[in-house]
Amino acid sequence: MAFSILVVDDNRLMRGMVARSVTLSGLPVSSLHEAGDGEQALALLRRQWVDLVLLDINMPVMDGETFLGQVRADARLRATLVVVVSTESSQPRIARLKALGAGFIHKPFTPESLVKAVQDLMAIGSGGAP
Amino acid sequence: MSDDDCLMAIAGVCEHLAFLIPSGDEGAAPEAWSIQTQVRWCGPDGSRGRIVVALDQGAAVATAANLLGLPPGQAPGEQDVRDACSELSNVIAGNLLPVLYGQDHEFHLCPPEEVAPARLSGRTVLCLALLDGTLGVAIQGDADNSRILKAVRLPTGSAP
Repeated sequence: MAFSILVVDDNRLMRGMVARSVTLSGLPVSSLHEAGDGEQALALLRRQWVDLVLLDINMPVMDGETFLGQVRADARLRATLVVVVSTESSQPRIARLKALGAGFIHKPFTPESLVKAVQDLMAIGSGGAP
Repeated sequence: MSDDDCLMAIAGVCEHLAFLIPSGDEGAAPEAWSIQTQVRWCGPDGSRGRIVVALDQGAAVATAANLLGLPPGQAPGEQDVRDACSELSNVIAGNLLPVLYGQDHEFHLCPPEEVAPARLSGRTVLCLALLDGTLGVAIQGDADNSRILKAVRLPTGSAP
């Protein structure tokens, strides 16, 4: 089954790089969307079906952690798979993100680590498989 | 934490994020930096600081070209260079903080800001020679940083 994927990062070049990594990873993709912050991403999620969100944390307007909390609080969105793609290294914050059912990969990352994070997330089933 | 630890972290980000390969030569600041970006951060107990990343022309153009996946010989646009250097700064800062202070503390990183290129200064200034140019990093923090270091050194369970 192909994924509809949303890449959320405030840096345009990084969104492109994450999108290229998705292509290189071999994950089946049906559509690829982009958002520049959590607020834009939430608006897009509410009008467009998305299976997997690749989420930066440090962003202006609405950061990734706030976005993730709002997704999990929304009955229509809470099953969305989310993988955090961030420079974050704080173990307490990473633990909080994982407790909200998110996968985590550290920047810089490889396409292989992206695939593994998605596979791990689907195996756990915390977000619900697409 | 030593300067070598920091240089290793910086070199790792350069190589894995932007495919910038260290040349193995001793890094020295160029006569003029082409672009400079700062990432301000705040951490536990009111601590704050900033990490400044500077690139010369060669390193800046290579960063953008590599992040964009441009074919050899194709030059990136000026805005692409700025965006690429911002992201590189962001990732370097995110990877340096745990080297400096450990992984038990939460830091908030502000979005990268471009600043006027100037000579790098701070309690630690590092230069990394790359095949494509030179990258410099200045680690600046106020006296409050000692509070984080003290907290990090406390035994597990007794941290504030």
